[in-house]
Amino acid sequence: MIMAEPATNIEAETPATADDMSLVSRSRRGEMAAYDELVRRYQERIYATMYHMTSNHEDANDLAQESFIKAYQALKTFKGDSSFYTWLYRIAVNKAINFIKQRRNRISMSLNDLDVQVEHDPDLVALISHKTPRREAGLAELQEKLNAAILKLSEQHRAVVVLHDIQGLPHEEIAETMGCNVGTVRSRLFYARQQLQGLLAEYLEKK
Amino acid sequence: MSENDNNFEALRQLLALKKHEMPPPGYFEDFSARVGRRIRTLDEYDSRSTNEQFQETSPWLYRFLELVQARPALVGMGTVGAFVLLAAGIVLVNRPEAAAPQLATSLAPMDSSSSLDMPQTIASADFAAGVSNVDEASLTTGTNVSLQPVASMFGSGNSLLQPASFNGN
Repeated sequence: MIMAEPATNIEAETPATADDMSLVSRSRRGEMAAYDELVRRYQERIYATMYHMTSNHEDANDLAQESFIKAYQALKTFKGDSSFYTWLYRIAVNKAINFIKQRRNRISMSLNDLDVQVEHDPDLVALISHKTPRREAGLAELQEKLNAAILKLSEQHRAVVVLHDIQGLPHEEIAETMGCNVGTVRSRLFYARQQLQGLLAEYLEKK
Repeated sequence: MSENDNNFEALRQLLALKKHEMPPPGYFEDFSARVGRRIRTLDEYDSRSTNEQFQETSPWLYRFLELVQARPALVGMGTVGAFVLLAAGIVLVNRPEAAAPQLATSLAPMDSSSSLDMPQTIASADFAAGVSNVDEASLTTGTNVSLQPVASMFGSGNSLLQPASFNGN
């Protein structure tokens, strides 16, 4: 299973979003079962965002839970101008950004294991040689260097890279989530990619 | 794909590694249950803490409200009784024919015994005691001296009080 499948145009009115509104209405009336369904629907994507922002499983776990709790407490303020998912994402990303600001100098990685499908990912096959006997060790090292490089980005740049290049959200959706315009998202993305390219130059050149 | 994206193609491939990072097996199985438990715990804590906080800050009011809840009839009767007493007090105070004789009776004895206007007595007492170093005005027995309160004990004068006056008769 690949965590956090890239989302397509999640803002479009789909049966899922219409169903979300029904679940939101029921949750507002105090039906915990309805909110439980909303949590199960988005838990993987929210957790993935928190994890990619922090590179720490325990922090991601806390932040994801706190995001859902905060969303539940703020359900009465949800007006339905955007989809529930976008609104929830906004809460989660803001929570992660605030967390990173507070913990700027106390960063520690607690990385999740790579799944078995990693060796069949065509993008990664091109980066890692099949013939090397220490291929698994190479992947682990690459994972650590990649996460370390991402942690060096500012919280705003990190959020854009995570949301676009890892989570697959479109620019417009990121702009709405982060409360800025699309141009700002594009420029942040460009700058963040440039930084990452510099930090990971040796691994990119190996290709 | 734009030219800008093409420039970062290798980086995009490298970032694909992040999608394969997985939490421990079974992590999501009870995630929603954990969130639900925390929400319920917070709700209970909020309601309990508000109640306890009220009990700590205003214990008398808390006990009174408990009494209101337990015995509303008794509290209602007590409230009506207090209101009747208050109304009766207001009515009695506002009756001039009842208040005036009482006031006159209470003031009558004071007129003869506690008057402050005793010039002869004080002047004689001072003279008889042989007080020295006093100026001439204070020793004149024929002078009518009115005792009045000191203007001020701490420097600045009180405009409502006047210094002692010496009226020679």
